[in-house]
Amino acid sequence: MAPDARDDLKQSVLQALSTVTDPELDEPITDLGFVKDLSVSDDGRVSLDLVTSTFWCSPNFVYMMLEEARDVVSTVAGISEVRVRLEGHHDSDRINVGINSRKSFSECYESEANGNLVELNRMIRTRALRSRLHAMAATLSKYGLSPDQLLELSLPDVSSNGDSVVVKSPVVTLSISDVEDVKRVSRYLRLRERIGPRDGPLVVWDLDGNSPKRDEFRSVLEEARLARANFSFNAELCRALLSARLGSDNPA
Amino acid sequence: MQQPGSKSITLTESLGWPTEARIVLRRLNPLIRPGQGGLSLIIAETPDGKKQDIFVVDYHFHIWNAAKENWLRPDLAKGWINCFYDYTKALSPKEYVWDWDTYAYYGEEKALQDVFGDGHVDMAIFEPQTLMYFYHKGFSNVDAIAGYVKKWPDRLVMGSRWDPRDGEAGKALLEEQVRKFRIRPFQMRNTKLYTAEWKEENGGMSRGWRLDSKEAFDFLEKNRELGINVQVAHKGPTVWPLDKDAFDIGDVDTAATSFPDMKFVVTHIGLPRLDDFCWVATQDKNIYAGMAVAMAFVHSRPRYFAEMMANLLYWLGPDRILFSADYALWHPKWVIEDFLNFELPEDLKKEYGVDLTMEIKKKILGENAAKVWGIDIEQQKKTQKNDELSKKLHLQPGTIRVGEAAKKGKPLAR
Repeated sequence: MAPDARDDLKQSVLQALSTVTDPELDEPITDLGFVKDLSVSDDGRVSLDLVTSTFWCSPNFVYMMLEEARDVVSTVAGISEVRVRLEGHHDSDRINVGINSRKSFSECYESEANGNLVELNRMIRTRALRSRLHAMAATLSKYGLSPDQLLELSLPDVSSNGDSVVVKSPVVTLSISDVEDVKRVSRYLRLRERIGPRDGPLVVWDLDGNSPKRDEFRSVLEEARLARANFSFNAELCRALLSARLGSDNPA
Repeated sequence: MQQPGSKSITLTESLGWPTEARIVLRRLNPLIRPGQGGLSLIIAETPDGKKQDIFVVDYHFHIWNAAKENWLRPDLAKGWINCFYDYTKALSPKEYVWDWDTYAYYGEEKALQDVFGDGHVDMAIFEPQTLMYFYHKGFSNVDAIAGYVKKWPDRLVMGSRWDPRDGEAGKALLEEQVRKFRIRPFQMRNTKLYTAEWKEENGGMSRGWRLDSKEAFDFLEKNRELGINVQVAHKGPTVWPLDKDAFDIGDVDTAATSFPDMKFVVTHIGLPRLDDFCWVATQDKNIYAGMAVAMAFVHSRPRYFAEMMANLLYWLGPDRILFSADYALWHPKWVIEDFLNFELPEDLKKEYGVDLTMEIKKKILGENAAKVWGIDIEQQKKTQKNDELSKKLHLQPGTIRVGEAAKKGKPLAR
């Protein structure tokens, strides 16, 4: 493979990894600095080294994140094999074996787990959805959209091309170009598009695509504000910890 | 007006100043150089001339021993203390970060000097974290703590721990500790519950426990009988079984509902589940927000700190928030000074409809914990005025002028 082609392939792998979030932080692992090393061989074999912000991150969420990383990289065209290596974690050895031999979490932790991570995954993803819902609602309210108006919008009324967001409905028309605001709305849209009907209401508050009723929307938003504060606080703590860890002068 | 014999320091180095300038200021000002005699029973003076005396109770304080000689399982023991060290380095002003060896084991004398001598703390409550699977003699073990408390029973408050997996022997030990160490009314009133403690059990491995099991409830009954009414719950990254959320505080909710006469302090305000914590604490009025870890954001991440405070004040109100610097993770001197100087930004005051006044800071820094532990602040002030520790550390009452940064109108930008 020519060096250019290999670089392109590496870029595609990174692109795929940027869709993987730390479930507890709802931020891409590529932004968090968790991707420590990535190499792609001529015949499409990927070796991916990951690091978490602490030695003690919960094994279950780490497992979830690594499974997803492994799976999205496997689907990149031209990739023949993926090996994931988690470094500096209290259960690195066991987790690495589990992930690379495609064991489920309960197979990996046979005597210590009662099941797989479906329930845990739903719990954390629901919070991520609500956190993004709050970010979207708070952003649109800056542009004059009330919570009631928001509930009347359907998904096709709001579109994003990455550089701008356009809201177009019988009651309201507006265009947003502020970079941060576009990002906030787009993050919600990307998640919303995967949940519920494409022509359904814009606002959904659970993974089954249900929408809140008008009289409960304000308390939903209050709860969502708290979920968002929690994610943002945790993410900032993890960034600070990882940077302390990597610039580490702890004894080897 | 300065009171005769009191000291005054101006905290212009608070929010927004470059670190270098702050270091210089600390070096130039002999009054705030460590080891030169510190301030106790501090008085905070705001720019409007109002004064507020502040009695500081730190609910979550440690003297640990993570020196290499104490490592039982070296990878885990090292992983533990290095993780702590990263927390310290991540959030401390640079000049407060010690070398690794000092950090691993700093000992009693340094702890007293830092916390009471330089750190403005009036009383500190021990929360042991034993980690017997990692360290030969434990990370911060109860016997060592008892030794310190016996020497300074009006300053250091003894807390123990329990674990439902210890069974009857664990209950008998608590009984003995109450008999031996309830040497003041507020002593031996709390136990720390670290639910992620690893333990070998029946030839297998248990990486944690929950507070809502029958065995845990038996222990809570025993605690009630012994008058140990404050349960300091601390979630860690593992639990049994491992597919559950280790940070879920549903079990604290269940316990708090079932033992309404007891008080449950949730350490580091339930993080990384602040949202769960606020919901649960809204329902159970006997649940308290323990600010260990969260507090350290005040210095370098004021906007995050502000949002967290706004949420706590909104959901819990000002009476159930407890201060801690979590020494030796962070030095109480800068944590307290920054907190006294901290103001909620106007946009958050407006959005949440809350404020963080000096009266509320006073509650958070000491009054709330004093109520939980049954500490009579006025009595303690008299007792402590000329006690042995005051003499040993040359402590004097002193004034801290606050709000300089706010006067300068520095924005609290994220």
